[in-house]
Amino acid sequence: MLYSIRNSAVAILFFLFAVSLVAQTDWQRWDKVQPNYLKSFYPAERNFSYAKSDLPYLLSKTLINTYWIFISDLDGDNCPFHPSCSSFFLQSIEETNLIQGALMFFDRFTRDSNPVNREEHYPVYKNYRFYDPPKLYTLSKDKIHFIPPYTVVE
Amino acid sequence: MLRFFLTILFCVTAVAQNNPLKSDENRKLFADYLYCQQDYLRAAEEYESLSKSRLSDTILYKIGKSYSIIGNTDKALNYFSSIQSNSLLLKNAILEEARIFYLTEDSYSLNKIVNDVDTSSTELKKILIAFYLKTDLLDKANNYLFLFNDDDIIRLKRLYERRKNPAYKSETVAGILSAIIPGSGKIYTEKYGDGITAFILTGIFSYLAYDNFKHSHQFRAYLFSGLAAGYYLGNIYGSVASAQIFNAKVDFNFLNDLSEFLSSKNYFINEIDFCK
Repeated sequence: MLYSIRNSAVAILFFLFAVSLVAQTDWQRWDKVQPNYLKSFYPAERNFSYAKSDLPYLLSKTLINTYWIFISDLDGDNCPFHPSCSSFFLQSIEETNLIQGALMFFDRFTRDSNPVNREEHYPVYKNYRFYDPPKLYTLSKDKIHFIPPYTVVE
Repeated sequence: MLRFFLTILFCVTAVAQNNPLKSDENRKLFADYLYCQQDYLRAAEEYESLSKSRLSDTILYKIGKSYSIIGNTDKALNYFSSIQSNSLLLKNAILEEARIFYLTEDSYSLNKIVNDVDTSSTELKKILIAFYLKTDLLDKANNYLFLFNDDDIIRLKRLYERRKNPAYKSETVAGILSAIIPGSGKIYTEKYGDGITAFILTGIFSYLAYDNFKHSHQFRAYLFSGLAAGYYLGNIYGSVASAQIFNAKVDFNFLNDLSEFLSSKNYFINEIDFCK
């Protein structure tokens, strides 16, 4: 009997010791966090595929694709606006029609040619360009969602 | 000796199950501390874990306020509406409910508590006026504006006048101005740089077209004519769009000013400092 009591005592003591041992976390060291100081980079989104099959869209998409391949890629990502003027032209035609899209493009190009005080009129997109979507210029008041200047748009 | 040791171990384990650390009193103290530290989510959870007998109106109000601050409006409304009618915090609770209805644009509920004779107050009516101004229901706002006269109402009347007669720019006028003088429509809508640029670009391409026609360079003449026409028509189109964007900006600024006014007044709620 003494032997069995001694065994159970040993078992209980071993159990208590094991529980205490598992509870200790002092040897788990915290690793140093490696910060990333690089600025996020958002390259221009180029989609060369044809989403629609109507003639005005096909003509304008072909023209823009040609511009992207032969001129824009050599010239670089220089447009101060997001979306870029060529993308703006395509999106304008998708949202409206060829004629209205062309007028929106000429207006956009005029605004692009004005280098003065842009930051007072446009919010900033996450790629550090001025945010100027075509939906503001479709003459449809429901689509106009005003964002004040100096705001960062994600 | 071993029996004694095991007895001690058993007694210690049994006593440890009745942990006084998590008594209602300690939970409430901890919850008060979290509330004052602005850790509202944890404070609300601690208050909710108290036994029902401990849930006084003050605690119910604090839970509602915590959920209101973190944006859980459903739970906040539940707790505010459970405050008793004879409580000193009832008025504040109703104003907090009105604030939530204003922010969630729940017109029906807001009208209901304002028109309830037992709970209606001047502050509630002011929140209702602000709501009508926000949602552009000016006739309904007008019904309440002349019921009383204090600094807040004077301010609301000014906002009402601004909403009734906004400083919009006419799209037609902008288009006509740009048709007569390219760029003038944009200057009318306060886009001075764009207006001057439009004038210069249209002028340059028009001159180039004229010059090439004069020297019989047909292809170039037609090319520049096309570009000049594009910029001219684009400038008219852009002026109309610019007027629309200007008007959207006027509305945005109005709503911003209304929101700032209400925030500065804390939605007419007399805030109670529970942390003194």
